[in-house]
Amino acid sequence: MKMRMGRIGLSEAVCVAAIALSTGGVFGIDPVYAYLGGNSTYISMPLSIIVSLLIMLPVLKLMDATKCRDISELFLKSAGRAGGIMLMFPICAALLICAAKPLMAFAQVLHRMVYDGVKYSSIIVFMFPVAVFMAWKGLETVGRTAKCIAVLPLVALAAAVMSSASGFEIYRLFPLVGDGMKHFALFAVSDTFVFIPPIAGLLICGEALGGNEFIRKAAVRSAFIAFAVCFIAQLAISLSFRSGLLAESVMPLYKIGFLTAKQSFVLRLDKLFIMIWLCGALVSCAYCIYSSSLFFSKMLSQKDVTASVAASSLITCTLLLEIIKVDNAVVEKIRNAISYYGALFLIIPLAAVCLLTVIKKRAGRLEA
Amino acid sequence: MKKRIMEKIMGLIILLIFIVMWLTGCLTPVSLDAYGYVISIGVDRGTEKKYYITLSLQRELSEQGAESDGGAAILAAEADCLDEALNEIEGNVPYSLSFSRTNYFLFSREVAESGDIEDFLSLSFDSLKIRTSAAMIITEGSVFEFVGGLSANNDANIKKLQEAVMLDMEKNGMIAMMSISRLFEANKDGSFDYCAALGRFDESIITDMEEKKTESEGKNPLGNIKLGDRVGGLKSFMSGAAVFSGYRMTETLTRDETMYLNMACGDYKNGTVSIPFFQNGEELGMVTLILSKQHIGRRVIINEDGSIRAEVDIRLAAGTHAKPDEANQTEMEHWINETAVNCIRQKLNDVFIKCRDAGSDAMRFGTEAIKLFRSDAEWKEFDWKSRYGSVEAVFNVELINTDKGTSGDMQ
Repeated sequence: MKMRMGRIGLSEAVCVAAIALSTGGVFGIDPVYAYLGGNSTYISMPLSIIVSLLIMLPVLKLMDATKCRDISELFLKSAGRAGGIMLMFPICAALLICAAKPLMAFAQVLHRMVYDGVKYSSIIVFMFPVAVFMAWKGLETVGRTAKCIAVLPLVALAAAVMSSASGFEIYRLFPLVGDGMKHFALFAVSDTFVFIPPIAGLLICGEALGGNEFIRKAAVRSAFIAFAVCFIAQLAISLSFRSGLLAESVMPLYKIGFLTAKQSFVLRLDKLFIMIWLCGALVSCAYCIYSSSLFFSKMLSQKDVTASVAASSLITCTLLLEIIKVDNAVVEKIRNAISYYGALFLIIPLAAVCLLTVIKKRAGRLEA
Repeated sequence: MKKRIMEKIMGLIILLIFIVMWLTGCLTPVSLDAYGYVISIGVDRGTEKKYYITLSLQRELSEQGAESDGGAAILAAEADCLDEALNEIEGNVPYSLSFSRTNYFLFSREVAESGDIEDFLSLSFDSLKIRTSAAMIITEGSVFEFVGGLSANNDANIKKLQEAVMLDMEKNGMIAMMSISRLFEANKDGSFDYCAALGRFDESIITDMEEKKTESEGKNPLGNIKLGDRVGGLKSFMSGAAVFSGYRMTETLTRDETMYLNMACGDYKNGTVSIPFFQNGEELGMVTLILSKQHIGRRVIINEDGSIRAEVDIRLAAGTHAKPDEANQTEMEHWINETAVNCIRQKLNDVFIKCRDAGSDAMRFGTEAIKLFRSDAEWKEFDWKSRYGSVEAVFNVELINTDKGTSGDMQ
């Protein structure tokens, strides 16, 4: 068996999941969709994390009840191999999208605003192998790297927010719920597409975490860390830009220092900050690729995860490189579909697994 | 055993491929020396083409350890847009132009009043890597002369000048400075109007007076200047603010008026005002008040009949400077609370009316009005810009005398 899980402690699991959740919430969201309804992401985004956690906790409870060590066992027990594989695909795909989206945003910003005369593809080829290498080495490498760098993105965020605070204006938060409560609630639910996969990743890698209790603790703690990070980052963004401008911006957090005419050496540190955040995005990418590969391998009873990691990396790389070549109208349609209905593709299979588990358990057809 | 060695070799090959891939980031390296850093972009009306574009570059001294920070270099060309100008200029210079340090956009008054700023700024900031934190200056007369005036002095250093402008803004509040990103913000949802710094070029300022600098050189310490000449500094300076309505500049404010604008906006920190002191109907002289912000609160009230009232509460600490000898403590107290307060209130009102008549919400009351709305749709339907012409403003000014309790004779 070469599943390359190793063993990671609670702190490593919390770090890796918190980095993945925060990266998704700050850099992996679609600005056109997220800021369409006004500057309310600083509430809707953290709320989304809590909703995602509430969706995943019952799954974990069922894993407990059925004595499953990870989510793949639960899928197999409840839906059988064929059914389980079918229900697995949306989650694997979502993990790969979550791996690609933040890196795509970073590559675009580095290409447009940082490097002179360097092609978008060169930047992808420059950074993506780092994530692949970590995913290839397995969960232990990803977890330990996450623990090593976890503080850096937080420090960079704090420094970026503090140095830009003079440009913050309260009026930019108004009207408070943008397009109204209905849209606000819709955002909170649909944004779970970004947050469910990283939490699901913990359930997928459950065996390496040493028990469901640890998974629960890691999920709850990482969700609360991500809650705070997303709240601070999104509030800073909302205080810096009106929603109309945000919808046109790829990575608004990078630009929060661009508002003040007053120049200082701190404001010029944004290029350093983006590199630090990129480290977090690479760890998050590696974690998502590995989780997706592990889920796939386990569901198909493969004994070696490396083939899946190679395939997942290739898919993610293709997504990163080819998405800018695809016709804009098609990309727009896909992006809208994912933003509006993406969460359903995750909630439906998870709900189906939960339902099947409960039915089978009541019927006594579930092996302990 | 053989299998493990093969695995290690395969691993090394993969690692090598990764390392080679990482190096791709250096495929098109450009040495720092090969860049010309554009500090400001100036735009005048062209004769044959739409614009006459002036790029001001910071020139670094090549000698290591040089005490001076270098001067400025000017590049200029006529073009219909910035890209066209760059194509023409870049072909004639032995370095690449970099806009990552561009801090100022300068437009001549003619261009600003025509509303062509919107057309010019439709350029891609991202592709040129220009930070939207760059500020805007509108110049009376041509930008070309203004930029030349900044470099006229032998010691001119654009970076230091920029810092001086900012310091000036904090010290006396007589300059309005906003980033370009706020111009886009202002025009995106119309909750306020933009306000830029106004610059002037004065040919009569003597910048090089040929003074005696060493024992053996020069004429005398006064050089060739005469009594009454304006001497020293640069020929270009900030003379107030230019207020906009949308992308079109509609009015200018003097340095004094800019101070009152900043006060009403809540941006004011410190400054001085000089107000005449009267006793028994006789003017005893000017009293200078040294002001510092204590509290500035702003709100907008929309009444049921649709009328809109903007209210600004301004509380400033006021210390007196150069007060008349004849005035005692009680008289000064009364003068500060009555005459000075009324004078400041009147000036604030005058500036508000001047801006309102120019169709400019430069006092940014829209940013207070937006807080009264529950959704974006309601705000858009309200259409602040069309209602702004009927807004009335009330300025509640309070001066806290900081000389209180001290001796009346401050000499």
